[in-house]
Amino acid sequence: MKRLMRYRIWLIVLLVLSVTGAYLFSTLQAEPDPKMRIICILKTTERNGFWNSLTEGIEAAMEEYDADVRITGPDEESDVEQQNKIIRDAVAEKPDVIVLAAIDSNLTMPAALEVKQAGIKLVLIDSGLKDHIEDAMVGTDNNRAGVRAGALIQRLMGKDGKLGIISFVRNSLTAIDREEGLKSAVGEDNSNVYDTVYCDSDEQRAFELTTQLLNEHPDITVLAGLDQYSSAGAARAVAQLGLSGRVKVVGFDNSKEQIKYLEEGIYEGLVIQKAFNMGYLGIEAAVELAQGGHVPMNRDSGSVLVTKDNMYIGIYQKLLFPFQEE
Amino acid sequence: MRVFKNIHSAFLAAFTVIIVPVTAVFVWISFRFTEESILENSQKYVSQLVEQVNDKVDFYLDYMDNTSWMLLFHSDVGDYLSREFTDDTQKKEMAAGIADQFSNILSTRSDIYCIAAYGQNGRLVVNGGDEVINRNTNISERSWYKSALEANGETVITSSHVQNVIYDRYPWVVSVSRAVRVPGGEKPVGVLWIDLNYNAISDLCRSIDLGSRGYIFVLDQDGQIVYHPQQQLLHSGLKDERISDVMEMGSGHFLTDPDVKKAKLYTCSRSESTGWTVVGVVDATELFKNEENAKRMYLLTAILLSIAAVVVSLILSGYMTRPIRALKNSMREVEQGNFRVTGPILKDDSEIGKLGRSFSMMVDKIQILMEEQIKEQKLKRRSELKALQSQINPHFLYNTLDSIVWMAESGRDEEVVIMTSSLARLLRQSISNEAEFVTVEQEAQYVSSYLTIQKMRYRDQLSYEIEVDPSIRSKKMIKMILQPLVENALYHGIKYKEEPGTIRVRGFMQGDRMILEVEDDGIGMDEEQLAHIFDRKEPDERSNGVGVRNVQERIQLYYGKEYGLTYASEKGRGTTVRVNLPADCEGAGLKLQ
Repeated sequence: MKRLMRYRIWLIVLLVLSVTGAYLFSTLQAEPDPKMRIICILKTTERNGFWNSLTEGIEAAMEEYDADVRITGPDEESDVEQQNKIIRDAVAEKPDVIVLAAIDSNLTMPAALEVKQAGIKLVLIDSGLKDHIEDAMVGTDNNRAGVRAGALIQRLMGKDGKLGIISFVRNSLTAIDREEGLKSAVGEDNSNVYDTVYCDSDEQRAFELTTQLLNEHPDITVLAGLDQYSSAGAARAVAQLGLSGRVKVVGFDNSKEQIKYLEEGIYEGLVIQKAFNMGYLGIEAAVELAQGGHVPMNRDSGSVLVTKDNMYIGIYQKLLFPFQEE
Repeated sequence: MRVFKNIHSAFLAAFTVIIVPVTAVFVWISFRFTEESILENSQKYVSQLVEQVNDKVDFYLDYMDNTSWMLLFHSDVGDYLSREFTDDTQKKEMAAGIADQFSNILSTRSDIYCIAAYGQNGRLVVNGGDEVINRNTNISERSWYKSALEANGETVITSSHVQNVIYDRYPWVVSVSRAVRVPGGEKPVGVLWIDLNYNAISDLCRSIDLGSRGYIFVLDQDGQIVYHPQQQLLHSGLKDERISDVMEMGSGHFLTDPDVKKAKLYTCSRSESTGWTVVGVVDATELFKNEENAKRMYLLTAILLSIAAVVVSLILSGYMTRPIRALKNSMREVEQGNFRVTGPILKDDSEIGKLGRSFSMMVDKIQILMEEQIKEQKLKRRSELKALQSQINPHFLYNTLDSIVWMAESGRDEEVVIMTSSLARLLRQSISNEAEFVTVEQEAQYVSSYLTIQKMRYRDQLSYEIEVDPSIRSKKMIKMILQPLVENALYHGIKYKEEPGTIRVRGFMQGDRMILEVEDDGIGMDEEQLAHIFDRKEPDERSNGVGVRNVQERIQLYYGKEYGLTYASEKGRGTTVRVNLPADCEGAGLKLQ
């Protein structure tokens, strides 16, 4: 016992070293944190211009933040029922966050509510919902985008011009915001603006409606399409009716067809959304929410007006022609 | 400074103090080395890759440049773009011929999107001539076209842009263009260009793996991005790239942060021919991902080593100091007077081993020296005693000679004869016999001669009897034992007595001992005197200096402590002294040898 006492300082040294060693050893094989799981439900899985860019933005953020993101959506952009079913399936999977591009601000509400009720964070991209139940919203500030288009339209209309508006879905908040923004930029009283028509996001319908509108109101000098389909339909109608130059068109989005019309001079300008940014920022917000961070309620992913003159210049070229992964 | 209670602790502390810092330094160096070597290796690795990409890009563009040069000089492009045609079919034939050459090249290269020539006069040849031309494009307005014209025959490489010359197609391309000149013409007549699929460049860069967070990007001579894996992020302003740093650097590498572990490693390589810069970016966190584990391993090893070192030190210092402790213990024994300890027996050849052996030898030597000393002392004493025992008290001699003279004067011739012959015998015995040992017989005779002389001097006052058992007469004993005792009895016992006294000398065996007794009936001694009988006394003139003490001492010197004199005395009744001797007296004397 006395012998033990004599060596106690060394025993203590040994003990301390052993404990430190054991601690270090335990930290040696630390498990990496599990990835956060995000399910991204778009309006469609179709990979056309806008959705393609948006998906690329999602994928870029996925890589950047090392998140586990699954992208899904209905086959058709107008299929509210299918999207709602997909939302409910996603809720059952219990991910950390659901990122949703709601097809209809009213009809998507019930399914979106279920997301919140399941305690899953909800990030909306592109389109909002009737009630603000989301944790964060990332999208084009559609009112502002409308203003951009409206500013050009106002210049094109001059004093005596008349404006026809082809919108897409009647109750879509996107459509409403764009229209309001556009009208506010065009003028205080909208006496020179004809009643808006709705093509239900169908290009052929837009074409028909435009043709009809131009026939009914030959005094229309400027046409505004509020989304890709309505814009493309309007441009085609103008081209086919041979009204190019006399009826000027301002549209939204940048499908290849639209780009051709822009080069041709049928479009005076296209307001393009930064779809890539939208996807990227949507995932960024989702990641921050999953990590318990604070995220601004609304985030504008931005929009820009491209005209024939600047379409091959710098940033406009890059936004108009997203690098396509082939 | 007395920090350590013993050498053991001191050793242990010394070991620990040495080993722990050494281990710490080792760990530190390992850390540094790992960090540096990781960085250095990845720098080397990345710059190799980047240069490889740069070479490939150069090779590509060089090839395109050569191709465009060849096309310019071996086709009718210049002619076609400048000439005035009167005949439309001739114009078409010429265009077809040029298109043929274009398509020949195209058919071998899938990475070329288009080869085309455009004249200031609006003439256009694209690829094999069968492409649908985008009517809405205005080539002469495009910046790449303008810069090719301005370069006046030099090759212009335009970084990535959208090529819209073919209807319904808007691919990203890299253009290698050259102004077309005709002999004698002052101004170029048009531009010949080759569009390289953007994918050719991006695939090249993408094929390089720089870890999951590493990437390669390419800048043109103006710092415009030719390729970047996250160009959309850059275009959207969601990310920044260190373009100005790269443009400043040219070729080389830099870290984005002074803290290596948070930094990104940029490795740039600028091509001399194109001015393009290929940049490899590696995330250091990824490089050092495994370093943390490696560091922990180092630390763990160091701690295990330290534990082992302390344990080994414990054992080793114990082992090393054990002989010292053993030495200390035996020294303590010696300190306490025990010379029998031999000291620790050490087989090893260490200093401590030698010390131990030296100590043992020293102790041995001291012991030998002490024994020798004792022996010497004994010998010295013996020779002293020997010298003493051969002496005859000179007073006794005078007195005897006086007595003889006196007797001769009074004519007592017979008595003179007896006394003289007794004295002669006494002298002969004491002088002639050099031997230490005599027979009991001789000793008895000596005493007898002595007593004869004394009786004649003291006349009626002294009588004596000598009775020696015949069995012991021939036995040997050291001489001059009885005479001093008899002398004592006479001078201290009989002499002070009023009446005549008797001295009896007896010799006999008792068990294995030989006993000689001298008994007198003199004044005797009280207990006080008896207790001091063996005390040292100054030899006086009447004694021959061979006192009782000397007799005792001599006997014990020769035969051991168990032998010697024993006195019995009673005041007024006389004294008896008993000499105890071993039976084999001479043999016992061997003890001294």
